[in-house]
Amino acid sequence: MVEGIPLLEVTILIPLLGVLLLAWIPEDDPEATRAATLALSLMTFLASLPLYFMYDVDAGGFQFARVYNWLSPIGAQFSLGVDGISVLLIVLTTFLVPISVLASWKGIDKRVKSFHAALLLMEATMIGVFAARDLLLFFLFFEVQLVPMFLFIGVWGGEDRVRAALKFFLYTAVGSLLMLAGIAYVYVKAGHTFDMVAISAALPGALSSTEQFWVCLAFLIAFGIKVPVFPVHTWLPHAHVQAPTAGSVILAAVMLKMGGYGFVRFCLPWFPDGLVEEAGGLFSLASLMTWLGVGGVVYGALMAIAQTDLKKLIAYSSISHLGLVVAALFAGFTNPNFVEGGHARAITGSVYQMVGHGLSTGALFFLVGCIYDRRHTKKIAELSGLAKPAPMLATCFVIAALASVALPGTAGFVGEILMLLGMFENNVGAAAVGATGMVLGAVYMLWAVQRVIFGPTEGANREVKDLEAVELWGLVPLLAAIFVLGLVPGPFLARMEPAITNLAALYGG
Amino acid sequence: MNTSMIPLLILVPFLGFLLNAFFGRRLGKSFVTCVGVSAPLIAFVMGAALFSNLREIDSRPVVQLDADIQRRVYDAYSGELARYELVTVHAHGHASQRQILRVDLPYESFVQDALAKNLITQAELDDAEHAEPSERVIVAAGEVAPAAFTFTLGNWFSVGGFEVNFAFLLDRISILLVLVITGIGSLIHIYSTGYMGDRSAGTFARFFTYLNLFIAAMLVLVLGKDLLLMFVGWEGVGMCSYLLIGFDYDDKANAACGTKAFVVNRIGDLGFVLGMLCLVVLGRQAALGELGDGVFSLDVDFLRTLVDHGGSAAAAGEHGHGGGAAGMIGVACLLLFVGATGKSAQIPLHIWLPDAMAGPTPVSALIHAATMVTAGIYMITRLSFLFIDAQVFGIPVLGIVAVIGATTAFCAGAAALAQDDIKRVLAYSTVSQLGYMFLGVGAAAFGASMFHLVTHAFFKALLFLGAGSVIHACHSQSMSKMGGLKDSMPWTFKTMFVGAFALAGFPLLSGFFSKDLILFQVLARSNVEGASWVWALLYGMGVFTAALTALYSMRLIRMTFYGSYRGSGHPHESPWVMTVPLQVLALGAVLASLLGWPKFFLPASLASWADMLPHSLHAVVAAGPTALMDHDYLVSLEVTGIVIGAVVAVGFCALGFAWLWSLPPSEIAWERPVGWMRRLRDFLFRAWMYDEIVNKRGAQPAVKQLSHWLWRWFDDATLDQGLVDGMGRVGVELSHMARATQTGRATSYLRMFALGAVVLPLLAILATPLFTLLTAWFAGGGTH
Repeated sequence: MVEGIPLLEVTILIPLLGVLLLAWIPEDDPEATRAATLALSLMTFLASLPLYFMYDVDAGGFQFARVYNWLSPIGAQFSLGVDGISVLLIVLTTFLVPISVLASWKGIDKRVKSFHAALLLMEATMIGVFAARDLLLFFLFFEVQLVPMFLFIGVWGGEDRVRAALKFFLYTAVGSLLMLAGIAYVYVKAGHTFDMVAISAALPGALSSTEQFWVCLAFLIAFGIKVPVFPVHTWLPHAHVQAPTAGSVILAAVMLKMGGYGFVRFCLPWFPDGLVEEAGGLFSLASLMTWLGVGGVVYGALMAIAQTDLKKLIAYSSISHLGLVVAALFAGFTNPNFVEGGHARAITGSVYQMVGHGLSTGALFFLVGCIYDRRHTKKIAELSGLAKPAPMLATCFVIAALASVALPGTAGFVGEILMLLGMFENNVGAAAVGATGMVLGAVYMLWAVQRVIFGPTEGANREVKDLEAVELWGLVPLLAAIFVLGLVPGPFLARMEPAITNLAALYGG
Repeated sequence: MNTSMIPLLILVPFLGFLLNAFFGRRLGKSFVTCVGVSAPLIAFVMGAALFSNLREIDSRPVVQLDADIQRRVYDAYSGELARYELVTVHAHGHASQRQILRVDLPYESFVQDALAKNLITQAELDDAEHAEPSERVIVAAGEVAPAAFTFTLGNWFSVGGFEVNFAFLLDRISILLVLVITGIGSLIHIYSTGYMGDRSAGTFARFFTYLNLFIAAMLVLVLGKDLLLMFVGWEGVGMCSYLLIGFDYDDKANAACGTKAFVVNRIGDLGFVLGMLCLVVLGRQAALGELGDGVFSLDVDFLRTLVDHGGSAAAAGEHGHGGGAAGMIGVACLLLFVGATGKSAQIPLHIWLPDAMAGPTPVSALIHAATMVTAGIYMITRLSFLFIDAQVFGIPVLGIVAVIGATTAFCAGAAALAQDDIKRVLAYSTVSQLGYMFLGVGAAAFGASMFHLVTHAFFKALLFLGAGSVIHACHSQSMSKMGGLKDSMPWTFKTMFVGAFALAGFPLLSGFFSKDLILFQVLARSNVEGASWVWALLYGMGVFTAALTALYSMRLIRMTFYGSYRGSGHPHESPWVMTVPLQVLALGAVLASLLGWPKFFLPASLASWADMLPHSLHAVVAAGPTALMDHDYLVSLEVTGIVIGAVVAVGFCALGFAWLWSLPPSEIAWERPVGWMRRLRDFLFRAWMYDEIVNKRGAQPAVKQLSHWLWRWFDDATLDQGLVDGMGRVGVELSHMARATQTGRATSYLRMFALGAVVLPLLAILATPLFTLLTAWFAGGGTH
């Protein structure tokens, strides 16, 4: 009975049609626009739930798959399907969009309709990125979602929004160009097909290890910029600082994960030899990514400590957290005595942390937005003692901060402990460096809490109003999800397991 | 016994937390009081019920069986219900290691089952029950090893063979901690209703919300059977401690102290995590090798089998002599100990505890004296089988533990002597006493350390609550603003007097027996071969610190309660909700000694009371090298130790009296801000300047400077504005240059056209040969 319903297509179409629907709402009725967008995004969320619950764990592989004719002359098809990893990221996306609507309920009051149209377009394309089973289609979605985000930052952003938007766009465009070249090469070598399953079957045999090295490098740079990995991260702080709250939430929670998803989907399975090949006998791409990753953990944390802008601090904390996520994906290959189980655990933790980080950082950006709406500043020095006038806001902030430092019981802990464990099994040094994030994270996060939430309440901080119902409706599910994923990770992990076991087994022999 | 009471034990304070968190502010103080106080009380009653259940099972018969029956039983139940264990048996005053067979069945069901399965006949059973203990084999079915309850709530997560369960273990070690946490916790909750009584309803609710959450987290810590679950509690209590230290957050300093506590604890936790990772890797190797089922975890039982197999694997394994598994266990234990130094405030991570005094005083009593800070000692005791033989580069890890413990005990004891803030005296005293416990643990005297943990919980909670009562009355924490309070605060005075003497180790009070049991074990250890001079030195340090303890305890009583009042206002006794807990705790500080009276102190009729608590733990913790020493010699050492301890305590209490009582504080050289002692006192007042040099002038500015510098000059200037924007500028410049060619003048275009007309055909002609040449060159290179 379910087979009859094209669930994936519906999930993409609801927000897409929603963009058209918004056109019918009069421009002078922002409330109706918000309500309609909220309803549409909730419908999308509901539509995506069956994907998650009906995903057959025992069968594994791509499910809900459908193929439509698209550019048949060159072999590109409109082909969709999800596996245990992408279904999780899709639900994360559909879960966060309604929350983003609530997050911008008060903050956005100009061009309300265009804003929400862009948000819905972004949702459709983000789902598309995770659902595409065709490489060209993936690229299409990957590129199209840049546009609404570019507009988000450029139109609804802060004072320096245009520069930030441009930097974001150009950075990503450079990566995309390299990826396009890589896609073209893969397309030719894999026998003129964009079908990911077919390519997976054809590669890596179709490429020599040197070819793999270069194509893989192109993909690594493209997705590395997206994550972003140190040292190509400098667009992120600018983009976050300028972006409106919803933009930051989506950017941190979902869009950055596309980089990690790209690593998992393409780099790991397709270019195994390229990753371990030692360029000039010096280092392999895998060890490069591993050490850039754990280096980024320390570097991002140090940068976060130095920040005076609360939003920038959280942006740099993302770089630190995602450094570990990246390192965990590649650390396995740096061990000559590859431990397959450890590699699988590290990848599992990494994907889990993508979700966990999405939730905790999403919540933090949401809360910074709430603070900004009230105080019109994000400068840490101007904020102090918010706990007194706004206890609920303070409580939520402290919970989100503690989730961000991966306190046991939160989603971040499960992800982080699995990543560290898996890395430790294959590369003790990288795991040890990465683990210092535990301490450094506490330094910048709690220092920020100490200065912003605690301390004496003076001046305009006294007038800060506590969270309103609209904001609570967004925050409470977000924080609840952090604990659900932290305490009952079983079902989520079970869905990922087959995909990741296959991935790790590629190298087992 | 319904073991599901174990998670309920945790659930009760957790429910208290939820109720207070969501409804406390709205429903007011009486609701909060009711919920907040009843939660730990109910948990205490449940803990007591579980305790009596454990005791009841332990009192069931032990059966001696012949070796062949034993083997039959083992074969029948092997793997699941039956296993051989090495235990230390104390018989006829001698300790010896024996192998027992333990069957995890209640005695009655075992008998029924064994009879049904023909493992044993009724006649054999009757014989066995009357048999004398055989010297050669201890053969037991039922529960020779003490009873323990386990309960598994479910799976937390499992990835590729690595399993983490919500599994709880209630045995003799954890029940002890459960009773301390809920019992002393309840008293502190009651006290807090008075201490925090004048706060607003919201603040009052917040306080009890955190306090109940703390109790729940602490219970998770001690009941967690899986190390990772223990870590949940471990970090959970750290979080509560963080929130409670910065409870009065509108003072910047308090919030900073909370952050400091959390960060320093996190450094320890990093060690804890890395230690766990070592154990998991070891577990995986074993699970894929000799243990063979591919499932591995951080479950205490699994770790125990791991250690049992680890010895043989290391001897025969591919890693050579003593390396491999055994070496890994050593590293793991050292890293876990780093975790312990963080939570239990030992050198080098002790710096957070004195600052933790920023929290309300009941918090200091509960978290920073009685319970949380002892977690490190508990963890090592729980993992004693792991630590007992652990070595790093040939140095026993427990030796390192002992050295750190003794050093911390001494340094903190000296620092306590120079403090003016009454809470800081007690804070350094706590660090010092925890040092004693680590010294004991290091000497493999786990029972003695747990005994000291219990007695210390009583008298230190008492002293903190007493100090709270004094602070409540004087509105100051500075002892130089106190004095002469013994008449205006009679109950606070009397109870604190008892507490201070118990702390000083005055004969027959609880601190006397527990501290001297530790010191005696260290003394005994110095009589065992292997680095005996180190242990003798540690014993000396321990005795010297005992002298310091007596001195600073007397100083505290003197400065607070004697002489004339130096503060402002008219201090008066605290309300009964505060003094009654003090009285109960004072009673405990005296009576807790009954848990460990030495044998030679007791008449023969009461011999079963001797060393009750430490002995009860012998069967569940690993035995150290002193366990097999000659009994009479041990007794003589114990007598010597006790006598030395008594002489030191009495002597230095008397000295404290004589020195401090003779003059008003302003005229005692030690207390005055001038004179020859000033430098030494100042140095000790600043706790050996360690925090200032290492933290305030070392790590903190270093990290801040480094991050600031990196951000300003590397991230912003070099990477972003230099490289990235630079690339953009290069692009813009290039386009400017290219634009310069578009002059719009026909002559320049013609020149370009002419140039193109020559160059392009040339290129076209040369392209093919050039390409062939290049390919040939590459191909040639390839064939080499």
